[in-house]
Amino acid sequence: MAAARRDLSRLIRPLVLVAMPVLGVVNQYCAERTAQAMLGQALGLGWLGHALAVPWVWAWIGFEILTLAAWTVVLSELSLSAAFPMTALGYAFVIALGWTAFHEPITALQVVGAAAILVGVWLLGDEAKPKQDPPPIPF
Amino acid sequence: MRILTPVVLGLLAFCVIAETIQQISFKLGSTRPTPEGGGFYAGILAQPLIWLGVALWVIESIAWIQVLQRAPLSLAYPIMTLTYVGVPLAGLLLLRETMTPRQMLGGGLIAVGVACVALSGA
Repeated sequence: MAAARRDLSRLIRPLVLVAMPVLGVVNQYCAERTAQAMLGQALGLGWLGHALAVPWVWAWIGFEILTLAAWTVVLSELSLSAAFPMTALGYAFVIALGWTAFHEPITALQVVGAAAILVGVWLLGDEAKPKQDPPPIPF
Repeated sequence: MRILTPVVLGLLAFCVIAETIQQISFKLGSTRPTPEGGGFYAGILAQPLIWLGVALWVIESIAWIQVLQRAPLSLAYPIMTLTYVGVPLAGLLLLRETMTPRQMLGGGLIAVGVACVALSGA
């Protein structure tokens, strides 16, 4: 039983690793579409009611829960140092999403900053301490 | 091009702080001893700290929508990586955890990178 479970987790591992950055992009795509759908709405109870009628909100909530579940699997299967580069990749994907899907402007300073952040996130996954506190749930 | 107005910066700061408290709540809530009986998830759901985390997540999402209505995603999202610095820093100060030199360098690089991204939108 335990062996079967190990085999299954070995199969799931690469899938979940790829899923993390992809889910990050999907979450932020839903968030951006939600923000666009809610433009012009004044904050308040009416705002909340309107938000719950936006399909992107429900997609966003669903994918966030899926992300949390996937992240739990990642952390139970992998050391942080192995999981962290993947979260850095997620940030790169989301920045690229803004530039491509939403046609946002790019500056050189922004590219330099994004690169420094990616290296920083990767460095935070310390190889010397493989099992420690869970990092922030990305995305 | 002035995108990061004081309002946007305030909202982003709120999101980073809310996310940091949320992470610490989830961490403390999921590692606390659970009541006798019931499964792992039932035990976790009985923790008030977990519900504090969920409530913060909802409020933060509302604030995040406000951010995205005022600033580009590719500018605002990298700034959220400050949470990666905030959580270990809170652990260092409040929970007396340690950071390795490599982690400090990583945190420093994130801070420099966020400053670059923020300046490009200032």
